[in-house]
Amino acid sequence: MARQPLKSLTESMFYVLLALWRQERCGTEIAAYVRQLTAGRVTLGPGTLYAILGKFQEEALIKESWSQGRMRVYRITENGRALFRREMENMRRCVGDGQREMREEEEV
Amino acid sequence: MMRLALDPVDIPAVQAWLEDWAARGWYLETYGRNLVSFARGERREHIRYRLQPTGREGGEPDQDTREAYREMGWTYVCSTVGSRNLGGVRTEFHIWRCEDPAAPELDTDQTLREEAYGDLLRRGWRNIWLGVPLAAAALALMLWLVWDRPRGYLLDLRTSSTPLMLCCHGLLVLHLISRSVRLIRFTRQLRRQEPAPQRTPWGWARARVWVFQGLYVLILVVMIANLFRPYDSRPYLPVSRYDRPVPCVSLAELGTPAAGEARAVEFRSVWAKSTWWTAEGSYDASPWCEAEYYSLRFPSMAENLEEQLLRRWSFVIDIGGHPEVRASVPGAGSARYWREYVELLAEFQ
Repeated sequence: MARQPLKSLTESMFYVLLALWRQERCGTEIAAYVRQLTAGRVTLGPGTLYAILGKFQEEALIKESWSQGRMRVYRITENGRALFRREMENMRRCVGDGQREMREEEEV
Repeated sequence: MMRLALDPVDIPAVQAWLEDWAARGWYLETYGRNLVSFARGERREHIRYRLQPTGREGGEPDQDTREAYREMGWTYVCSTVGSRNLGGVRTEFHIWRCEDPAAPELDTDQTLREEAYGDLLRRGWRNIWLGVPLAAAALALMLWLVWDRPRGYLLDLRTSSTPLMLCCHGLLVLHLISRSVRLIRFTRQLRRQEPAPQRTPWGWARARVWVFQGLYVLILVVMIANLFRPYDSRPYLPVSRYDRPVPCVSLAELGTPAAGEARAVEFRSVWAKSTWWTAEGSYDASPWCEAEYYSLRFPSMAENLEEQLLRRWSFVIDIGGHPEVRASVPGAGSARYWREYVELLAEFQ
């Protein structure tokens, strides 16, 4: 069976792409950045983090930019940026729809 | 220290079991198909063990992955053995250990965790859709061989090994189904985004292992016992050596001079409450007489038995010119024999 290309991101995937949006990072740096950014709400365990990094590399959403010893540093690709923007747009629409409904309920 | 291995598909139970052993100071070293080995260490609370499906490729995690996990607090311990074939060992789960209570969980994304079980799940369904009908067909074939095999039926009346093997086989099929069902149930829980427990009581998982390992041992013992002491090798003893009445037909009762004392052997099995084979005289010398007596647990089997007995002695019946003689044998509903061969076929009710 052919593998389905990635269509949507889980919360963990979203934050991994976000962590690489502005700068290259290695695995542990990504995990630390996400934990700090979300004030500990989202944590990335090694099983999840390295599964995401492997998946993103297969989908050409990120690339290994350089490595030193066993440390590997990743950067986001144009495909990754496009997927992240699309995901942001979807989320913006969802939030917009939700806010409109809630506002209308309050006005009634 | 070695212990019987719990089935790795009981994931939360296995994790709890390993953590409990670590709390007692025993640390997992290897997780084989049947046995698990532990090494002595210092007693430590808050040690976590997690099982991670290996995926289609199996094998063990490479050094880079182990190092990356170690940086986040998780140490690779070993991998469970899924199957062995000519290509080597195929692993099923990697086992990771974490000694830092502040380290994050191994898998923190339920969706990805469920995806990781995809390959195991496919194998689980394959076991159900292919393995179960195949196992059921094998069971049916064994049953058919027992009931229809010309000599097999008679042989199986004298031993309990075949019904025992049938029961064991049936239970092992159930084990195969239950293993796949447990795995499917666990992954469905992940798919529904329900919080999957990391620890569950492991008593049932251990009991299941004892039962099924016991079945394998039982099958092995029965096979070896049959190999070294086939039931045909049991000795015939003179009838007088038995302290209870022996259903025996003597040559004298058939109107032929006796040829020494009759000898008998008794069998007991699941099918027959009592089976006696008696013989008088020597097989190579006339006169010679042999009788078989079956007290069946299930009367419906009698018809099949008669058919099998007739088929067995057909070489005597089919030879022309030997008239069948009806006889009167104590305890038998009817009896007939062929005097030239001094063979007797009696039907006991």
